[in-house]
Amino acid sequence: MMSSLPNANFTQLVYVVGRLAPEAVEMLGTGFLVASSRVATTNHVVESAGNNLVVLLPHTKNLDDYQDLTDVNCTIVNASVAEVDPIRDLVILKTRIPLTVNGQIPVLGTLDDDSVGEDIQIYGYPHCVEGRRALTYQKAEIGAKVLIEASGIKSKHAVVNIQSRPGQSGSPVVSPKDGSISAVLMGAWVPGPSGVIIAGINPRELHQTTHCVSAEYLRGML
Amino acid sequence: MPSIEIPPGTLEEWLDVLKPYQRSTILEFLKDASPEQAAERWLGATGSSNIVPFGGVRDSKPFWDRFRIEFTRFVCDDDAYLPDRQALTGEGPVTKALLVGEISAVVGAEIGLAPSLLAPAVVLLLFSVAKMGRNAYCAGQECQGPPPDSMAPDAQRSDEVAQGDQA
Repeated sequence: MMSSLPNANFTQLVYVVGRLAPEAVEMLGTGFLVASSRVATTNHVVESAGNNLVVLLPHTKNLDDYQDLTDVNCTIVNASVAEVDPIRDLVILKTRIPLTVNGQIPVLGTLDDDSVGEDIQIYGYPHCVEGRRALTYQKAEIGAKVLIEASGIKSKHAVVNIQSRPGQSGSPVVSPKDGSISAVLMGAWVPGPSGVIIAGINPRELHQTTHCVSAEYLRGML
Repeated sequence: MPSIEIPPGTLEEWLDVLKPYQRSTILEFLKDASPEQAAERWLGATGSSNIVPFGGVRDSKPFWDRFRIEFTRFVCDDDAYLPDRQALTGEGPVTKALLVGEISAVVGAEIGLAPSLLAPAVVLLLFSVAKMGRNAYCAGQECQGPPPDSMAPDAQRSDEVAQGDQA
């Protein structure tokens, strides 16, 4: 049972980001609408390369509807990379046509306005990199607010108390108190070498400390 | 074919070409790095090395080397990028913004990277070229051909919305 869902209809705002291959779409991760014709996701999802990028348009209108995982049809919109912040691992994609939605596009907020222990909501496509397209809602709490260094520059991150999986990179992290987007899901904390990989899974990724970068960094990219 | 004229300017004037989020990061880099080192650091950044990304296909391309080769060809090799250079020089004086935009676009298409990723590196290297002079800069560079594994430019697609199969 979901609670405190913000007014925005995230089924129409959250997309799979993929790359067009000769006979299919390779699904790479999650993105979300931040302005007309602008979709935010993480840079590692698209690898700074705009060639053949696509956004898969929504396939469901209601999260309570059963999403048919056998349905492999999709409608795509071509996209290119408009802005890249390699330090915060963020990109803004520009779609070739505007993506219109009924209702308001959520405000880009900041982790400054969220406290440790507060609930957050995540909308994304876990396992989409393995061919599964299911818009999935998750609820969790902020476990810590931390500064993460990359290339000598520190950025605001939240540690969210939930396990995430490949495909969720680029998911919006929503603050239910005002419906704003507080952060963008990045991945799991795994310092040092990856170690033993079992059946394609790194056991060190399997924990409930998901890292999300503050959405405030997206504002300057629009 | 005339060579490209690099407009003169201070570092601050060159950085004004960039968006604020790019400029603030580059200014932070420049506190302890040369313009060329700052450009390499920008292109080499991949977020925190301690966070395992949950999406995309990992590909550690040598961005800097590929970019540097193509940038040098554009600036130093009079036979390279001829149509692009002709288009640039045929429309009067070349402004900093126009030059940065053109080099970022054509080099980005050549090596398969987004122009907005390359723009800060282009600004920093153009500042270096303008400061030391094109001839002196080019004399210090090894002009090489494109690397054998360079990616093809973006495929041209005319359809705005297409139907496709999901992977």
